[in-house]
Amino acid sequence: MKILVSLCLFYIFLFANDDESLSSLLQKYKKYSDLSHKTRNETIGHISVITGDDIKKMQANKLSDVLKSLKMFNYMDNVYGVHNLTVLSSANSVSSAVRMYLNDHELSSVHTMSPFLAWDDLPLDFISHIDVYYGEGSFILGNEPGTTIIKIYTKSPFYENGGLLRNTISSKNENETSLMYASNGLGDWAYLAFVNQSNSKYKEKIDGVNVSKDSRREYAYLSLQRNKQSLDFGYSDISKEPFANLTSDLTSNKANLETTNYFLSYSDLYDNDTIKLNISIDQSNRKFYSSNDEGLLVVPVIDFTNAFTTVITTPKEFEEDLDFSKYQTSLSKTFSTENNSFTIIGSYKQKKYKLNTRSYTDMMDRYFDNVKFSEFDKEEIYSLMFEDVYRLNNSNHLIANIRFDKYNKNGGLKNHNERMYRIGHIWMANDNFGIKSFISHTYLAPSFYLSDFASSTQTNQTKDLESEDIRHYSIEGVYADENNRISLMYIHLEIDKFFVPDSNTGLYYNYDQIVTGDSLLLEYERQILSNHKLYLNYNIAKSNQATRSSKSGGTLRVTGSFDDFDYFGELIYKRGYKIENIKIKDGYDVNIGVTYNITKDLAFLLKGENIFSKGSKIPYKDYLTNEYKVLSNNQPKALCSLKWQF
Amino acid sequence: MAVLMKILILLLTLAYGIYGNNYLFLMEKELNEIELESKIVAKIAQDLVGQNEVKVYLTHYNIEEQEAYKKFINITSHCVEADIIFLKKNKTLDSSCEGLNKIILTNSYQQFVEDDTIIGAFFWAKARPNIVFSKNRLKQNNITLPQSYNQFIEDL
Repeated sequence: MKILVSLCLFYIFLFANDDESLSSLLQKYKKYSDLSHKTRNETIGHISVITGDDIKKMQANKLSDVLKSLKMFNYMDNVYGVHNLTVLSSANSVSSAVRMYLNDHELSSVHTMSPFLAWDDLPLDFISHIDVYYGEGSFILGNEPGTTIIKIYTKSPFYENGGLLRNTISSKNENETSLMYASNGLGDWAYLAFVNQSNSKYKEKIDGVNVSKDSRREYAYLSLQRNKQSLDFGYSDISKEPFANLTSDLTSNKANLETTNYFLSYSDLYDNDTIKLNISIDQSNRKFYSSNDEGLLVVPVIDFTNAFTTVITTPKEFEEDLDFSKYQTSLSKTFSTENNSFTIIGSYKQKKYKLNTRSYTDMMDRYFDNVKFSEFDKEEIYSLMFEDVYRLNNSNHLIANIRFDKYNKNGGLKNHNERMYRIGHIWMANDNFGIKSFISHTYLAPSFYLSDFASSTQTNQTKDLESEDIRHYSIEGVYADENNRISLMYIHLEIDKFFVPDSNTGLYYNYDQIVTGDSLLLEYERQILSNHKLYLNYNIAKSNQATRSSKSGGTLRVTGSFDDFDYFGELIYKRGYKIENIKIKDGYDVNIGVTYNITKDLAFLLKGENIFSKGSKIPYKDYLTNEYKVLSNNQPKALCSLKWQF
Repeated sequence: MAVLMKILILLLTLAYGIYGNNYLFLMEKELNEIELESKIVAKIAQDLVGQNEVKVYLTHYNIEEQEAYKKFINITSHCVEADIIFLKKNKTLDSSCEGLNKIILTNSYQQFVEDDTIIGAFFWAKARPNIVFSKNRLKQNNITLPQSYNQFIEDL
C-alpha cells in the first residue's frame, strides 16, 4: 500500500511541477514546435499521422516501409515492380487516386498520375512526418483530385541545424547511403541538403526463369528557406529491371526501365500569411525497353480482329523514350473573421508529353518507328476554388467547398469543364469525443497514359475517355484522451464511368455501370508510459466488382524505447481471397527492429523484414496460359544500419 | 492482495498520462511556439536575475514576435531599462546598449561561443531545443543559477 501511496504522491508532485521546470518547458516547446502540429489541417479530410518518432523507431528508411501498413490499402507491387497502393479488393494496376506531396509540391507523374514509379522508395532521413488524409481534399491544395492525399513534410532546416549520415546493408547484398545537412547560419536564410543512393534486389523464378525488380536509385533534395519563403528542388533517378512488365508470359528476355525526375517549387506567404503563392516546374523522362519471344502486350498496336491478326501484330521487342513536363502556379487568399474563414484559390497548370522515340518489332519481324498511341500530348487546366470554414460554436464547424476546373486538350480530344463540391461537418461533443463527416462529389480525369491505352472501338474511334464521376461519403467517430485515440470510419464510394480495361483487348473505356465500394476502417493508438506505443488498424472493404485483391486486413505494431534501446515489432495481416480459381492464402508480414543508441548522436540499427516469409502473395496473370502465377511481395531479409548525427 | 497491488500499480502506471500526444480534432492551435519560446526566455531571465519582475530588451524582433513575448515577459523598448538583452542570431547590439554591461542571451550557439560578453544561448540544433550557459562568464558576472541549471552549464 505504501508503494501505491508513494507512486500517487510522485505523480502528483510531477503534475504540480510540470509547468515550473525548465526541462518540461523545453519538452513542451519541442512538441509544439513539431511540424506535425503545424501542418495538421482537419478540414482536408480524415487524418492519420505518421510521426517522426514512428519513422525513427520503425527504422522506416524508405517511404514504402510506412506505406505497407497504411489503412484502407493493399500495398502490392504492380507488373513493373513498382510499390503501389491499391484500395482493398481492387485490381493491382497503376494507382491514380492517390495524390502525394512533398511539402507544397505534388509528386504525381504527369504520365500516369501515379506518384509511385519515381517516389515509392523515397528515403525518409530528411522527412519530418507524413500526414495521410482520407477523402477528397484537393480543394485547398489546388491540385488534381484524388480520394487519398499523402502529404510528406521535410525536416525544417531552422530546427535541424546539423547533419546526418546513414549507411545500410542487407542480407540480400543491398546497400544504401544517405547524407543530410541543414544549417540556419546563412544570414536570414536556412538550407537543407540531402543526397541518397541505394540499390535493391529482388529475384524470383517463374517456371525456372528469373524475374527481377533489381533497382538502382538516386535521390537529391535541396531546400532554401527564409521567413515564409521556400525554394525546393527535388531529383530522383531510378534504373530498374521492370519485373514482368508488359510480357504476355510474365518473363522477358531482357528489359529495363529508367526514369529521371526534377522539380523546382517556390512558395511564399504574404499579408500576415493570408496570401499564398506557389510556382513549380517539373521535368521527367521515362525510358522503357523490353523484349520477349512470347510477346509483349503493347495493346494499342495489336490488331485484335481475330486470333491470327492478334498473334502476328503482337510486338516481341518494344522501346520508348518519353519526356514529360508540368508548369503550375497557384494563388490563394484567406479572409478570416472571428467565426469564419473564407479562402479563394486560383490555379493554372500546363502538362506536356513529348514522344522522343517509340518503336517495336512484331512477330512477323516488321519494324515500326515513331509510333504514336494517341495525338493527345498537351493539357491545360484552369481552376477556381472556394472554401469556407464556419465556426458555428465551440463544438461545431461547417466546411463547404466548390471548385471549377476547365480542361483544354489538344489531339482532337474535347475540352471539358468539371465541377467538384463538398460539404463537411466537424462536431466535438466534448474534449474526448467527436464526429467528422464529409459528402463530396468529385471526378478523376484520364491521364496521358489512359488516353494512350484508351479503346478506339469503345469510344467511337476518338480515344476520348470521359472523366470518372465520384461520389464519396465518409463519417468518422473519434475518441481521444491523454493516452488513447480510437477512430472508426465508414466510407461509401460510387463511381460512374469507371476506367476499366476491355476484357478482350485490355484497352480502357468508361464502364457503363455504377461501381460501388464500402469500407470500414478502425484505427487505435495507445501511448503506454512515456515512450511505448501500441498501434492497431483493421479494415474491411466490400465492392460490387469482382475481388481482385485482399478485402480485409490490419496492422498491429508496438514501438518504444528503454535505456539506450529503441524497438519495434509489426504484424501486417492480409486476409486471403480467391481470384478466378486461384486461392491466395492469408498473409502475415512480420517486421521487427532494434536500435542501439551508442551515444546521443550515434546509433546502430538492426531490422528483420517479413521474417517468417509469410507475407502476402500477389497473383500475376500469365496471358499465354491464362493462369495466375503467385509471387511473394516482400522477400525476407535482415538489414543493418549505422546512423551518425553531427 | 499482493497480486491486486501489482495490478493496481500497473493500471495506475498505464493510466498516467502527461506524455500523451493525442488530438481529437486540432481546430484551433492555441499554444504557439513563439509563446512557449517566450515562456522559456522569461523563466531563464527570472532565474538569472533572481527576481520575478524582469525587464527584457529584444533586439531585432518583429511585431508579431514582440506581441507573443509580451504575454509572459515585461518587454522594454529602452536598452538602458533592461535587466536582460536577448540578441537575435547574426545581429549586433544596438548602439544604445553599448557599454551598459547588461546580461546578454542569444539564440545562436556560434555567436555565444565567439562573443564572450554573451552569458548563455537558447537555440535549435539536431532537431532539439538547447540551452547553454558559460560557467566562466556566469562567474565573472557573479550570477548563481539554481541547481536544476547544472545540466545546461558548459565549461566555457
